[in-house]
Amino acid sequence: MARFFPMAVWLALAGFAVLSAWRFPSGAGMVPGPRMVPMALAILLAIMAVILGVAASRLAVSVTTVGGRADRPGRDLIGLTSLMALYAVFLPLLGFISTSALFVAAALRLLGYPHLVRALAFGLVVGFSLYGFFEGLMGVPLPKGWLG
Amino acid sequence: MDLGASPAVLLCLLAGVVAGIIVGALPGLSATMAVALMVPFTFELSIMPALALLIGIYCGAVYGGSIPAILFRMPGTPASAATIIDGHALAERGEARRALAVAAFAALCGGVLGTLILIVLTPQVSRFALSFGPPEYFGLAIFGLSMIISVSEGSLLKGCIVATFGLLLSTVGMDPIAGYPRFLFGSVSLMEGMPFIPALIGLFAIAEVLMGSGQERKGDASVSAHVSAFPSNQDVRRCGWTIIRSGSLGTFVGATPGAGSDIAAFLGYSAARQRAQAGDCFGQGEVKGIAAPEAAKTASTSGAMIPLLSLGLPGDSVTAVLIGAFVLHGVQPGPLLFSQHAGLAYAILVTILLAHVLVYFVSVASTRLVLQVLRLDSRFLRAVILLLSLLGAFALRNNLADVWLAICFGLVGVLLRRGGYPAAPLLLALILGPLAEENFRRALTLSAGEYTIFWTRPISAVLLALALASVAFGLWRSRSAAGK
Repeated sequence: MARFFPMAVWLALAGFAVLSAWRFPSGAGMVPGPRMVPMALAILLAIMAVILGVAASRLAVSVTTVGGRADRPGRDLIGLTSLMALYAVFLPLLGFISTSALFVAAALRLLGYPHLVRALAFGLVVGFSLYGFFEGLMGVPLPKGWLG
Repeated sequence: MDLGASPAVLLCLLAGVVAGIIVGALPGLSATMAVALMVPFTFELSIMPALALLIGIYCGAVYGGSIPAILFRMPGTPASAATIIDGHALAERGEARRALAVAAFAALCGGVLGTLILIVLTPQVSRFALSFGPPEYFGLAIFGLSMIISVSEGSLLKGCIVATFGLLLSTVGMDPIAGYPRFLFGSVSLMEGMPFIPALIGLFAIAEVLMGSGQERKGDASVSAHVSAFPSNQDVRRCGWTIIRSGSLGTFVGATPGAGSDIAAFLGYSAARQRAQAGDCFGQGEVKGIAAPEAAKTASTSGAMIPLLSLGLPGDSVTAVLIGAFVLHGVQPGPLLFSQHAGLAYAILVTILLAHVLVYFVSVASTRLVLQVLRLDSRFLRAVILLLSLLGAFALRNNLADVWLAICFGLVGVLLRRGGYPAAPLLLALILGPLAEENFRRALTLSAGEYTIFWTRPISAVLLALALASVAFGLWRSRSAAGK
């Protein structure tokens, strides 16, 4: 069943798009409205998903791990994704420099770097440098927070 | 000509090129942003140093994006995304220096070729580009979308699925004609449409770090067989015609208002891939796959100057800002520029040419320094790339929603790669989707719903025929390759 999983995902996405697009205005007369293009694309996606399913049923091997690096442990993936989510949450609260320093240090630890103090020092250097370049030189306003 | 050769002009040009390369290499900072930011600082300068500074930033930024694209699979600018495909593959093989050398050389040749076309063909190209209406833009977008065949490594069906998904994502936001909100689900951030930069950063940079391939790359600069910062004679011979073809194509695309260097780069890559010969290994580190997008995108910067200088119309967002700089210094670009300010007009052309040459020499001179970055512990690199990715997504609009989008696209990128789906078609669809839909519907509005408008106008008909031929040729090649 695993080889039909991609088809199911694409079909679900297409179905969701069709249901959402159905509510859009269809346009006046022969001139297409906001509904036409997304609806046509969603139907096309569904058709291709079915073809993918048919192709998968003809294959003797699973199609889920072609070309990828599925054997890689998922620890980094989950850890780094959670860390990025935390960064997005804490950026407006703590400010750019402190959040970035903590982010870099935590990412380094997650990636197996053993020295916490050096990681934090590196994070601070990166945070200050990027803040100086983006905010100071380029005029890009970054969150100040309570520390930064 | 003295205007173009004074020390002040050269100094400003050099400063602009160096600043531009740095800005281009950092995701989230664009050439438009840097040029717009520098315009007020040019108040105190006379017109030529001021324009030299801005032109230097523009040319430098367009090239600079390719450095992180090749080294880290992290395009600094959207136009560098096409370089990732073969550039990063070559870097992963331990030939980062060779990839950078070919990219810089192709960018130089494309820029010089584009400038020569700019000098010789400005009026003709302007007239051609201005004859584009909605059906022609739709034709151009469809021609661009036909490249999905070229950028779909492995399975064509999977490439088409991903592209359709990308086109569907490109319909998110306010409808371009009726202003009706689509797929917003209450989000204000998506009203302007699916932001392209977070998608780019997520799909390539974040996904790459999450997949963990940076670990194997530690120290690969030291094992590079190619030791010079200049391309080898063999690479130059191999890429010569590719550069000329892509450079010419890029110039015409750049001259077409609304079609920027990102579209030029993908078109150049596709054109090169469709002419692949036996022995070419596109997608696996083919030097032609680096030379083609680099030449096309750099040439497009000169192409964008064609409507600016001859008609006073911007070819892309950077030249729109440049018009402001011209006006600020009391010069109105347009048809009268060459008759009323001939000296200035030709000095600008020389400055553009010099900018491309300086970009090359700065990039060659900094190659050793740039490659030192690869010698760093890959854990530090991965942490900094992730931070830069999040910062780049945020800096564009100062919007945290873009950071979340980048993270989501990063996960989408991981899922796509694990499922054997190419990410490039999704990016291509996000670039071309809005152009295709808006002009498709505009054309139908103009023709009161008559679809014949697309094949009764010569340029549109030719572009659509080229797209059809490109798809047919690609399918034929793919079937013959599968049959072998």
